[in-house]
Amino acid sequence: MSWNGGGGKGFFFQRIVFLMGFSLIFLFTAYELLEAPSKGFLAFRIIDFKEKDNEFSLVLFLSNNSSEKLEGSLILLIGYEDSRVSENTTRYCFTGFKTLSFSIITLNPGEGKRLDVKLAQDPEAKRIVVIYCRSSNSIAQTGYCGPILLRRDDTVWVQTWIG
Amino acid sequence: MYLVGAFLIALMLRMIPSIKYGLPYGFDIYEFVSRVLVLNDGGNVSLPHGPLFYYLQLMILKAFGYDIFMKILTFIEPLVFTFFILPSYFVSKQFETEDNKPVYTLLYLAATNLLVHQIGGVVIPEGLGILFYGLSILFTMKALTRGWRWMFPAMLSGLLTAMSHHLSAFQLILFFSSLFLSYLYYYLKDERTSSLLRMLILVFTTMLLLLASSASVWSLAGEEENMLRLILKMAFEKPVLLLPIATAIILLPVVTVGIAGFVKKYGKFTFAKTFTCILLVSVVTPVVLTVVFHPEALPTILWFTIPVSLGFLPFTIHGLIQYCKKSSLYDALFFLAPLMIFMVEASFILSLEGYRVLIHRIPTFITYFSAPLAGYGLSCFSSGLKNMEKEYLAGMIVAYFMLSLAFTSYPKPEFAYGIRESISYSELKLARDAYYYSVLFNSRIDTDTRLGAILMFVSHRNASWVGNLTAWFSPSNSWLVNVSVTGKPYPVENDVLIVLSDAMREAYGGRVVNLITKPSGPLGQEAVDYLNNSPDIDRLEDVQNGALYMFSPWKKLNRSDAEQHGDG
Repeated sequence: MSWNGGGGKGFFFQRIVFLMGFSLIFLFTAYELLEAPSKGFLAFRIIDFKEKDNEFSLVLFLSNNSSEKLEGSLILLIGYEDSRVSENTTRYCFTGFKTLSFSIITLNPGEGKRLDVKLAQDPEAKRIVVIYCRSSNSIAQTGYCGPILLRRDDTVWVQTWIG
Repeated sequence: MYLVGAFLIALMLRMIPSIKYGLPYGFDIYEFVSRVLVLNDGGNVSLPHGPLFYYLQLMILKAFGYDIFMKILTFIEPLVFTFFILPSYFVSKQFETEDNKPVYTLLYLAATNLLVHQIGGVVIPEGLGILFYGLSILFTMKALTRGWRWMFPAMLSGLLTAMSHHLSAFQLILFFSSLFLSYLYYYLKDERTSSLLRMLILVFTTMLLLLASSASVWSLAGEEENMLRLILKMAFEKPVLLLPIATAIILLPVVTVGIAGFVKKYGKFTFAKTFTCILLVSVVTPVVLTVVFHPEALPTILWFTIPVSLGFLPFTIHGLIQYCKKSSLYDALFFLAPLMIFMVEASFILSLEGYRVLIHRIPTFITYFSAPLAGYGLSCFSSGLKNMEKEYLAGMIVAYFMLSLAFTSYPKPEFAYGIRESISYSELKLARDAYYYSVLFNSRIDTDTRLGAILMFVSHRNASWVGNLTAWFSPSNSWLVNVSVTGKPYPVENDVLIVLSDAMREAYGGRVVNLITKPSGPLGQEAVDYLNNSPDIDRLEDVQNGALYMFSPWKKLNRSDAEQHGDG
């Protein structure tokens, strides 16, 4: 019996190319599919903002566009002259802000919630920041003024300037 | 069995993005579909590539409704486009030389990145254009070798090419021109037969038909949208270019026939020599030039160049040499003449200031045309292996070459000059809400070409977008583009809504995508800090991997509301 199994010249080569090529590309396909990004996401937006009678009125909409139930904190911050938001690929950092209120909000899969926020005018305040974060136990105190560090993947936030 | 395996590879690779993202892959498709949606709404819109792709999509949309249309676009059309590799495979089956195994051609067509990407992975008019381009080549080959009547289906598929995609039609015009010139020279020099004369008349008629049908498509495109029109305009606007074109027309057949004759007589071409030459010309030279002139492009160059230059090119050149050696001059001209003119074309486009970026489309057509030669080269290479060990070793290496070709099908942004082709659901929502806000605040929208395509899609092309996707040469004077180029943020105009995505940011290896003819760059940290901290720039929405910003939107809105009430 010849080394090529009687299949002619290049028969063994052809077998190797196809079997190995197919297996490698199959593994590559499986790898690509396994590293598929999550399709779900959180969205947070300002629907309306009004400033009258010494009061700010903010209407927000928070939606859970994923297939899992989410529980997180809604944090209302007031920013002063030196307030600053910085971010990198892993974290948000809010400095120069004061926490005005804090509440827990649960969202079912696909659910959206309209949120009405009212707050009295503060002559020193420059901006209002509203954050929804899935892991924020460390700052769960009204009146907190220190820097707030939040995981980027868990956080959505919006802001409007006042004054 | 091998054929099934190769075709399964083709299907697997082309279905990756659809399954992975659950959305149509590539941002261009959203721009194209936006035109279909306008047609569906009864509106008028330019069809820059040719009408066929758009009307086929419109037919599906009308027949099945929007939801099923999107599912077909995402999951079925990539499967259908996979079959578009078959014409090139059938060309390979026409080879009458010994040792040819067309299944290798199918394997190349299945795995080669440019084809995976543009025939199936990304559903675009070019894919349809390539199908008819391939069919025209197949029918012409049959006409030249089997019987002249095959030129009639070639004419029909040529017409369909012109109706499908401008650059495919341009490439086909070059293909027929090269055949006409070379076979005319061959007719005058070697074979004065009436059958060849009849073929020459038919090929010339096909060229005229293609030119006429391409010109008729121009009226459907905007001023700057049809690249074939632009290239011809550019060529005729510069009379100095007519001289090299005329010289090329005269020299091409002489050089082509001369090369074919030389290859036939010269016996010292071996695969090892071919491989070494390709290594020097296609790997070492571009890498050195990139390091010297554009070091930032090195990852992209390496990512694409190495697989193509080691896995595809040496076998193509080897196949071409062997085909020239083993077949008649008449048959050899069929491949050699178009390849010569494609090289001239590439040099010509590179020499055109402002148009040289179009060179990025040409490799796809050349790859598709030369895949039968690559398959034949691999067949000849395998026949030359003398023992089992060599077959085993070579088989393993070639299998890894195939993997490396497949690897590059859907490059990550760091290997694609910062461009992220996939779109996420959150970005779709961001674009949709940006359009909502722009209507509410009566503002324009500033975003890059990638999200601009999505914006056109969600707004049925009604959004007022700062930046013009289809104008290749008009400057796109947008805040995002300008800041991405200079790196220095400046005050945002008060009637512009900025749509920012992580895919534009330097920190994520992205860039503000602009048309390839225009400058752009990544958006740096300074620009993001500016948007987050500049007084009066509101962050209206956050979708986790993108956000909307606008200068004092509510003050403006409340003021105009108050004015309306006052007027009332």
